[in-house]
Amino acid sequence: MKKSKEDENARKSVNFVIRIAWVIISLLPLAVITAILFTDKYDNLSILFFLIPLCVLLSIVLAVYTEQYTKHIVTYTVTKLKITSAKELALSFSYLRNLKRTYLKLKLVLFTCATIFLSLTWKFPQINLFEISIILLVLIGLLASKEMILAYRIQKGLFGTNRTEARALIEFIIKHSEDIDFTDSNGKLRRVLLPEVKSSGTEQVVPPFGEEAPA
Amino acid sequence: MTDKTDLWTKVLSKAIDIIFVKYPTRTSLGVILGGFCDFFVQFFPRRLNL
Repeated sequence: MKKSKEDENARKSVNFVIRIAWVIISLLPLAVITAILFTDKYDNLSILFFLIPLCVLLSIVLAVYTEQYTKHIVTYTVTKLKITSAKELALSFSYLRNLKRTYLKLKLVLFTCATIFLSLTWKFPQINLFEISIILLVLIGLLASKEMILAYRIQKGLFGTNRTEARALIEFIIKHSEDIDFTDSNGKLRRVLLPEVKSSGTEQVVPPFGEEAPA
Repeated sequence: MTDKTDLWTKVLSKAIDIIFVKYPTRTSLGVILGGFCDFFVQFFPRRLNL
C-alpha cells in the first residue's frame, strides 16, 4: 500500500516535470522565430528576454486555469451530490479531465502558430496570412466552447445520452483502462455517468453503483 | 427545461464536431499545415510559376 502511494507520488512529480518541459519546449521556437523576425527593428536579445518569460507565464496561466477549472467542477459536483470524495465521481469526469489536457496542448499549438502567422504577415507585407491566424484563433474559441458545453452536460447528467457521446466515452475507457482506477474509496465500482439533474428543486440522492435510484 | 438545455447543448456540440470533422487535433493541424503551404506559395510565386 505504502509502495503504491510512493509510486503514485513519483508518477505525479514526473508528470509535472514532463508537463513543464513540454510547455517550455513548445514555446521556445515561438520566441526564437519571433526574435529572428524582429531582428532588423529591435535588438534580438531584448526581444528574447521579453518574449520567453511572457510565453512561459502565459502557458503556466493557461495550464493553472484549466486545472483550477476542472477542480472547481469536481468540488462543485462533490458538494452538490453529497459524495464523500472525488473518487466516487463518475468516470465521465476522467474523460473531461483527459479531454481538457489534450485540448490545452492543442490550444497552445494553435496560439503559437497564430502568432507565427501574424508575425510573418507583419514581416513580409506582400504575404497575407491574416485570415489564417484569425481562423486559428476562432478554432481556439471553438475548443473552449466545446469544453464548456461538455462540462455543463456532464454536471447536469446529460452527457452520454446520445450515441456519439456514449461511443466516445467507451473508446476512452477502453484506451485508458490501465490508467483509470475503476474503484472508489469504499472499494465499490465507480459509476460511469452521473444521473440527470432534475430542476424540481429537491435534493438529489445518488444511489450506489448497481442499485436502482429511488422514485 | 432540462430537455431544452439537452437539445441546445447537443446541437451546439454536434455543430462544433462537424466544424472540426470529428477530430479536433487532426483538423487543427491540417489548418496549420495549410497555412504554412499558403505562406510558401506566396513566398515563392515565381519559382512556382504563379
